[in-house]
Amino acid sequence: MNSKKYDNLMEIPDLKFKRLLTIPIGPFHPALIEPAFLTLHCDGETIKDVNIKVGFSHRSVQYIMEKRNYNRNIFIAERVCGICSNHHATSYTGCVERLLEIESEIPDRARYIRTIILELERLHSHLLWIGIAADLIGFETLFMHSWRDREIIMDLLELISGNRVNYGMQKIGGVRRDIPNELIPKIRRVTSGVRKAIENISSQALSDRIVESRFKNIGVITDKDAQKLGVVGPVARASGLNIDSRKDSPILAYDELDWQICIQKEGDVSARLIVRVQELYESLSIIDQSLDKLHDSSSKEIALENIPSMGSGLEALFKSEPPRGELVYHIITNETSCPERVRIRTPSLINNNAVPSMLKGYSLADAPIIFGSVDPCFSCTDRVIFVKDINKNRTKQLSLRELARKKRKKFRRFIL
Amino acid sequence: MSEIEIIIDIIFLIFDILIFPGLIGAIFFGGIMSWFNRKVIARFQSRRGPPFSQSWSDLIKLFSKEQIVPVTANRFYFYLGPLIALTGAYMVCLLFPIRFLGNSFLSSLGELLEYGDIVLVITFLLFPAIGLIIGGTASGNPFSSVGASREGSMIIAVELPLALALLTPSLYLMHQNVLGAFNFATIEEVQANSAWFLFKFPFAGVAVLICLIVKLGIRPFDMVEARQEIIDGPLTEYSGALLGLIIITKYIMWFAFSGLLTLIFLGGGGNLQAPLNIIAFLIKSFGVVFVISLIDAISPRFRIDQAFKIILTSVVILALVDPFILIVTSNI
Repeated sequence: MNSKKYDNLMEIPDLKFKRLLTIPIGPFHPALIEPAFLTLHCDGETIKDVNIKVGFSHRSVQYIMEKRNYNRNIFIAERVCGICSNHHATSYTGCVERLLEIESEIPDRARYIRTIILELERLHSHLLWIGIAADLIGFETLFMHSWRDREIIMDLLELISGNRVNYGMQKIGGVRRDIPNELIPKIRRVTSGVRKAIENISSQALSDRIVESRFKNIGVITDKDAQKLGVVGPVARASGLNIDSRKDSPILAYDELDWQICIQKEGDVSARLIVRVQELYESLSIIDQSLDKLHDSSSKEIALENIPSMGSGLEALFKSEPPRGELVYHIITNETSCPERVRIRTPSLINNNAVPSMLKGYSLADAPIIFGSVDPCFSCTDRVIFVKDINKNRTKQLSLRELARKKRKKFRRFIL
Repeated sequence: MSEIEIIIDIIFLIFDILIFPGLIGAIFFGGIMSWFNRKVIARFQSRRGPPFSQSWSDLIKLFSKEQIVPVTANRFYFYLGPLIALTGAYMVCLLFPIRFLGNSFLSSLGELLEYGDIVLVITFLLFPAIGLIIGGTASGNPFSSVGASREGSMIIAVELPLALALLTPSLYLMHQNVLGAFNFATIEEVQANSAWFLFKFPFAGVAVLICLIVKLGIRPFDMVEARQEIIDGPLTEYSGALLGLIIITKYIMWFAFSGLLTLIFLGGGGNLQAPLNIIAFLIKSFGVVFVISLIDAISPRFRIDQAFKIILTSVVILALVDPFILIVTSNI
């Protein structure tokens, strides 16, 4: 990332934009749920240039992970993101299992339970996005309805795991809680209710003519641009790219199940909506099939009893597909019980950087929905803080710990 | 005329100006209408909605808060904007012929009201928008200036269809050689004797409803205060008592705009006796508020260029249909 360009955001980037109206969106703005900073340089209502800055909710997750042992890190991984929490926990445990070379020995039951929870998470995340997208074009009723129906899935997750947001289901070698066979009919009843709710919501969203006129031909990325920008997830699939980590590098039970990658060609916001709606139905079908397999599985084992000890100098990469796109976990081990290095690459990090090229040339009124259409998630994206020394005009990278130390020094000087 | 009658007339006049349909009545019923709108929308969205006292709680909170004027603002125009808006909305209510104490007042205001009611109303309907534009541009905030420019393009678009549609009944009355064709009282009386003008001029009625929705800033035409795009539009920098004044203006606008549609197209209070005609008028007004809330609940927001295009094509055509039919059928 060219950090110099992103430092002083209210600064007008080019002389030819000097007469433009500069409109800040963020760091705290009604259109954004989490902190991010967009600067729109507008000519009237048309956007001419865009700057984006993230990094307002940096929590140095990777650093913390290097200081804790492998079992404790599951809970840190789960707290990277509030919406795809289980995707992070599953990816982390999957990566560690790959390092321990026990990936193929994971009990069937655990694999199906993991798949079910991942897909339930995708359901509630996509419903959340539909609500936010509706709110961003002022469609408050659809927003309320989709969030109301999302509650059913949250309640179902609470029924299965005991928690609503961070489920605490994963452990190295399996899952912590079983889904007993007696619970499966009840889950089926709930998911059929969810299917009805999704039909209602998608008909509201897809048949409304004002929604169509607001979403069509807005924020277009062609397939070539999408490849160049490297976008992932529903954004890439809406531009016609046939990528999905669940098919490309199958994990858990995905290669045993029958499901399709949802692709649209147009690359506009409307295509992203349609892709997400189709993925809702695919998720429901995946859950149904996994429940079947779970019901038929003979063994009652949900986790491995004996976990081998970790070797040193190993390295593993694990890819999964959260609702927003491809998530990569990369872990390097050493001789201690803590990882040497944990690298997390979240999908929003890539998709956010595609936003400026989506926004240029469109109206100011479309800016929130275009930005919202990539389903931005900032807490999981923020990694590094760039600090600019104004006097020397030099940028350097600081970890949160160094910043804290500096601040503490300054504070002591102030007190004493 | 005896002195006592003159004194009674003056008391009537003061009652009209201050209590009903003047300031206090307009704020009171407008506040209830605003609450009703929020409640109806909430029920559509499977929410509970605000309690009945919410409109007044908002006002009490705002008037007890500190007033902040930004450094970048032009102080004079910043204060002037809300006052102009309030005055315009209030004057619309004052022209309504719905009165508790009968219609007999002899003051200069009464004589003024004999002529050109609707034309005067069309003028006063502009005032809230102009007040917001003045206040928004004076506050020195980019969001406010974008909001003010949106408000400006909206009033340019909406004035033509609104005037066309509102004057359709008057055109009809002029053709029938009725005296005082622009007068609310005459329009109300004619409707009481025959059918409502909504049935006679349905297209004009719908056009007026759409124009009033635009003026009220209700979805799908709420782009002036689009929360997700420009925070609160022209109101972004307002706080405390000035924001309270703008909220009061909004309440009066609810009363005035729904009342306007009721008077011209739904027969107003009819020719009922004093308390009954007010009750009939209010019931019809709440019906109008319900319809507006319904539209508010089921529609997303237009983009400003889409709204401009729709108003200047579809709504203008809608407003032109009834005058056209009137002219063709009457062989002028």
